[in-house]
Amino acid sequence: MNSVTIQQVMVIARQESAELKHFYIGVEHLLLALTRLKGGVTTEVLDQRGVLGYVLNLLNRDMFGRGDEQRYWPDFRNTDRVEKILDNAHDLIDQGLYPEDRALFMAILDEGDNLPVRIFQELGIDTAALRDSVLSWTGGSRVSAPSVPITVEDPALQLNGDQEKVLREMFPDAGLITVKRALQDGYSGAAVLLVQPTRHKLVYAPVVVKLDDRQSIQYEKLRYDQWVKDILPPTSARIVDEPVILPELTLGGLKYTFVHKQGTDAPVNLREYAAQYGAQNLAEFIHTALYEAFRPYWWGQRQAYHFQVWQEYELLLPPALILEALPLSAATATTRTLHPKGAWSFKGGVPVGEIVILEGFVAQKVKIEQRSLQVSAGAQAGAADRASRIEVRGIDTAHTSYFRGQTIKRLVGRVLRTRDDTLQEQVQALEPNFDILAQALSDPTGKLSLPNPLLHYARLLERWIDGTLSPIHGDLHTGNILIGPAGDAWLIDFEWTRQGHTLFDWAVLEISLLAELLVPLLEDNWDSCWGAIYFLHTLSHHGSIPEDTPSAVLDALRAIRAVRAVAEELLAPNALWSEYYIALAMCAIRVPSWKNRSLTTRRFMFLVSALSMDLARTNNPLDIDIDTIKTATDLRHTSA
Amino acid sequence: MGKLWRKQDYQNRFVFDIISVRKVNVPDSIEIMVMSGPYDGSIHRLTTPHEPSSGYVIGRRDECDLSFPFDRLVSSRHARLFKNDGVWYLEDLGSTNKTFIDKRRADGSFAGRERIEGIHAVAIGQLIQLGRLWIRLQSE
Repeated sequence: MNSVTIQQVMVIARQESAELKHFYIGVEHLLLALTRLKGGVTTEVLDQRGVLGYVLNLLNRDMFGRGDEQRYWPDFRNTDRVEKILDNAHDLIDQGLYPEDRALFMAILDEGDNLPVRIFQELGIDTAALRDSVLSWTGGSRVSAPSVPITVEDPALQLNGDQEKVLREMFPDAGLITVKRALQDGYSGAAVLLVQPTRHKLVYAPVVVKLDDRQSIQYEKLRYDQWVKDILPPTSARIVDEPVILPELTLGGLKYTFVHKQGTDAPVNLREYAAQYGAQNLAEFIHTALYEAFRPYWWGQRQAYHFQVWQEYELLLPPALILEALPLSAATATTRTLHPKGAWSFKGGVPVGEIVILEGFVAQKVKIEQRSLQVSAGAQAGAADRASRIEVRGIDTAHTSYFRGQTIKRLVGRVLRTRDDTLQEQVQALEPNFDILAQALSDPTGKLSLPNPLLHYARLLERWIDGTLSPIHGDLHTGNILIGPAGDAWLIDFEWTRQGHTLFDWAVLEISLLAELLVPLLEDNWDSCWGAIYFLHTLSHHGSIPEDTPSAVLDALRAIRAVRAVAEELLAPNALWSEYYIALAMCAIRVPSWKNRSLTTRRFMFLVSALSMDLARTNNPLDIDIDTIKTATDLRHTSA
Repeated sequence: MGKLWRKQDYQNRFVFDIISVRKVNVPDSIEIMVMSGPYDGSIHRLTTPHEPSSGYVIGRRDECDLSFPFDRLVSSRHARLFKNDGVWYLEDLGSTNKTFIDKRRADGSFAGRERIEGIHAVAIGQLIQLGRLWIRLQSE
């Protein structure tokens, strides 16, 4: 319903007052605000009598003159009379006088002693008759507050109506909302914006705002409260305000607040930073501002963790199965029952066409329009709970409702596709110049022969790792790392924050940096991708980069080396690099599924996955000849 | 008959005035309600004049008995209010933006505003405008 609350009227009154530099809210400001409403009772009854213009003129004459910059009282106070009127208005609302702007106008008339009423009297308006008109008024539901203007500074950025609505709700007392630019590309569907609210002509520091699906937003706040709140370094982003969720929209909004000096520059994202300050500074930033600053609270809190790869990394892969929903009666006595976290999900062995029963899975994503449902192992934040993912299509959304986090007792379906099918299809889409089912992938010159990820990933999922567990960000790609004006790392997007494999964040970051820094240098063919793989191969095996490397590639690899240096420090005490390369392989193999990424990115990442699997197979601790890494290695040996 | 009355002037020096004994012993008290502006609705009771010889002075300065430092349309010493023989009088002290009173008919309807020049008798309940600021004599 389109209606106005007293709170909204007060916000407008506040703006009116601020415009006049009054900095208090008097009855005159209330009346001004009431006349600003669209379709409100105040405008209507005064207009009927043809006196609206006169009232505003006289109000202007008698109102406290235009104020100056000097303030004579703290804060933005309501006058005693306004407090009294508000009390009465709330009483009238309790007695059933709606909408709220009508009750407020009524309370002003009832008070009888205020400036607007004296003006009505001066104009010869019969206030008793005015009261009657207000009481008998019947235009209730059409009234609405005027909307706050939103300006978008970046011409490439377009906001839709829902996004604007959420933004207005997020900054209820702003007079103007300026969207400076987008901080993320929006590959994930979420918009991360730099927003600057303006209030009483004062321009406030920009705020980072995330607009996303309301369920994700609520989950992020939940995760933030559970995992992040108490373990953030003092300079990072905080979620202070509750997320904004509107009942009529599927979109929600979240505000990140940063502690920094007023009036300083806005934050930039990692890509802009690299372009502006160069790779050397980026490497420095990764090690100092990001790793060193967050380590004591996050990755440094690690403890020994013996796990099977699927427990931490299966969530990155496509669904284990895609089912077509069948009625429960389709199951017979011989039908196989699948349970969450069963070996079937990483070993495969459920053929297309088989009918299966799912028992005790938890709903993760419900897409009502597509009539599809994603279920997985559990409802908790841990990665293992996202394992055993199955997509069920053709569910009956008309008669059954599913919600996120709900445990579904029993589902029956026929297997349409397995994970192998999905992955092969994704690789087929890369227009391969090789047999996608060959055991090994060979580069054009024949120097390198790498295992085919499509055939090896399943065995990798079964591998046991002696790793470590710590609080992790869970989605530490370049878009989620902002750099504050003082060079601090500001992390955002805590939807996947959890206790997880310590190296997870760094594998995600390496893949993301490769995509941002190295891929743009490549040409649109497989040979060029293989060329970049050589560099990565050399870096991984020797820790150094050949001197004849092109400087742009060198810059990109410097950032990668900074990530590897951190990974080296975070390897479990027995220090097998395979721990990191397995993580990297898993993070890379999911990239071909990102349809909105360039073909080159997807091709290159498929090869990165192959290279990482090769490196993981050799399983040797490496002698990396880099000073920073050497120091870290030495430290580890002495402590062990 | 007069008496030396010690008071502080605006520079906090003690000065002496000769005033009538009657006014010293029985300060006439009056309640004033602010009727517009940031203190709309607040009530001030005036009991002891700073300068008993001139009654209660209303203006922008802090030294006034009733001061409105935030309103630039009120003069530093705008008007004075005093009682004589049971009647309250208002005098404009040469203010820039003048002093007005709100005139009403017997039925309470509005009958125009009148600018005050010289000394003018005012009744309890009278609305007074100093510059743009409205006040009202509330009760004695």
